[in-house]
Amino acid sequence: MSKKKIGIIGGGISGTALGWNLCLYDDAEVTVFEKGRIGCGTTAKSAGTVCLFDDSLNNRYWDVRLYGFETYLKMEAERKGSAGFDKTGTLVCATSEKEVKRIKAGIALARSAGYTGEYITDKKRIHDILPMLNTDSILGAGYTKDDGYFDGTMISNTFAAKMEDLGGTILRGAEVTEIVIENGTAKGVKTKDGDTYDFDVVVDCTGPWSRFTGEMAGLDVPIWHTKAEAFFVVPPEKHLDYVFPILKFPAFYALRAGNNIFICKSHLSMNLDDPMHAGQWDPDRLPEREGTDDYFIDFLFHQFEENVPGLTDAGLNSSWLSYRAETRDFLPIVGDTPVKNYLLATGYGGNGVIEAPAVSRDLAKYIMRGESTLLLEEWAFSRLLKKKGE
Amino acid sequence: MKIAVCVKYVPVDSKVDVDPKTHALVRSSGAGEINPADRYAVEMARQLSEEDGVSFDVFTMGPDGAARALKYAMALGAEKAVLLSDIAFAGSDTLGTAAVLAAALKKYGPYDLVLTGNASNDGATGQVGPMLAQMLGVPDVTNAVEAETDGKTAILKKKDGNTLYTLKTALPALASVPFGANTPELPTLRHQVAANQREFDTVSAADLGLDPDTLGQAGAKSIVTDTVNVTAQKQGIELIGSVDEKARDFADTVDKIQQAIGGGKHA
Repeated sequence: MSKKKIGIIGGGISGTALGWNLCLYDDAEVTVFEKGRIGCGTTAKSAGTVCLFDDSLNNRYWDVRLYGFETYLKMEAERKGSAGFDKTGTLVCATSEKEVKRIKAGIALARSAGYTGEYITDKKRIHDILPMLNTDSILGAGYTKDDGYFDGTMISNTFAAKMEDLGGTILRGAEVTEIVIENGTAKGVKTKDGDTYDFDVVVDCTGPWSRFTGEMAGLDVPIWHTKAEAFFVVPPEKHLDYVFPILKFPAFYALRAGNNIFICKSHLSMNLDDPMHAGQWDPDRLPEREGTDDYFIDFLFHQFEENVPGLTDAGLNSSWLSYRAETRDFLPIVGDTPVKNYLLATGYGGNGVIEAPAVSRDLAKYIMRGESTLLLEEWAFSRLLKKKGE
Repeated sequence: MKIAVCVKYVPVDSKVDVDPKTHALVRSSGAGEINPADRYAVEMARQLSEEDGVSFDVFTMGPDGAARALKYAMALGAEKAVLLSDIAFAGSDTLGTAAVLAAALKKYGPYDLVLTGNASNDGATGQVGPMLAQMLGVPDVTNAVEAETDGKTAILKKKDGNTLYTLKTALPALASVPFGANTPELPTLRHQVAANQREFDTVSAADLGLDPDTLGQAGAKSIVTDTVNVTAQKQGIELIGSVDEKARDFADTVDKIQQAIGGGKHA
């Protein structure tokens, strides 16, 4: 049986999820190129929240969210710790009637799938769930105990291991330096150590690096880098005697990280036209820690003063800067490009952990059988080309 | 009683450019943070400043970004913060750095106690503290892990390997503090945000009355011939199988490591 040879650039959650999904087809021969370690890029700096009804991904794509969540639950059930699940639950706070409607719809969808969820207006109950919250500033909150956050790096490594079990190849420390294009068609890649690999299909899963990877294929990949500046704080109580749930407000989110609380401005509140928020930067220059701007800690502090006063006197332990790859509509770019057989699975922004399983499932089917899906059609590169010309 | 803490803003990792001619780090090229050992010097000052009548100021020499190190100390209670920044300072060796700091401390002082980190995690010479003490004409104690003072004398505990010496010195004096000397308080969000808004002095060579020809690369007495990145090599080994199999593999692994480093076989 002749096999379809697929090269995937990038060993983060996007590349490894796609690699595994492709390896489920017995006529696929898959190679992943990762220039560092698996899941060590921006995947490692993902908060990994997969909440059943927050605003990170529009309810239009709720099935994508559910598929991602349940993929990781199954992964965790197969081998405890393989997805790094911390079941903290989520408290999604509503500050407008529009958000109340969205949260309630999300709760209905979660309950339809068999999970718990309720919209709470009793301020005492909300306070009992998260005592450090100022309940005066919110209309109510959606709450579920069933979800939490995962570990993107663990998931990537689990996908990688499962992929290798199925015969896939992962080349670690292999940096792709050239995309081989002949007559407008991708034919393979070359790596820094001088090796050339022939492929039938090449898929760029490099996230914030996609603009640079795309240039190698002669493509202008329309992504921006938005800053994900995360701060780890130690609450004044040092050790909390309750489970700190993932806390979601429209402008920020917080979750527990050991005895620390991780806080970050939400990705949907970033403005691609604000140079403090977004730009074109080099992800290879990202420091391992620090590198943050005063702007973001000031912003978060003012949010906490109003909404979570219990965190304003938290100790600032550490911080890091990461870049999210965002498109103009904050949705990923998946599938074909103007370069034949050069595909993208990038631009996940702050939602890579949520979206990668469903996208990879559909993209693998498209690559192997030529069958598209509604999701691939909606998240196609062509939608952005059209907007560019308008 | 006035304390001065001298801190350094250092690169957080190896992603910093190196000038190909001078082999000096280009300090404005990457993210930075306060030198880890300096956090312990700031903490020592902060603890001493809990006594009535004791306050501390903070000084750093570097480009504009080095102000973040000052803001960290201000969030922990530093009263005055001074950024020593001038193109003439660029490329200073340890002697030049100590000279600039000494001039600044004389301008803003006098100080009863000067604290520094024991060494920076980029240059790691450990020379600036003792040089600064020499230039100020005060005694210095390195590796000071604890300090008590009555305003006229200081009792400093100096760590040397597993030995702790208790030393008494008249003030003014200088002490350099090693990494791990205490448990640094974390700046709270509230205090850090307030510190980010606070003003600090920016001081040039001219403000200090220093001749630029004696500073920076031009005035350096030492020559850096090369700068290399030292990368730690870490390698994990996953032990698979039953508990007995894992224990056997673990013992074999320990044997291999011992043989590699020239040790004997384990019992």
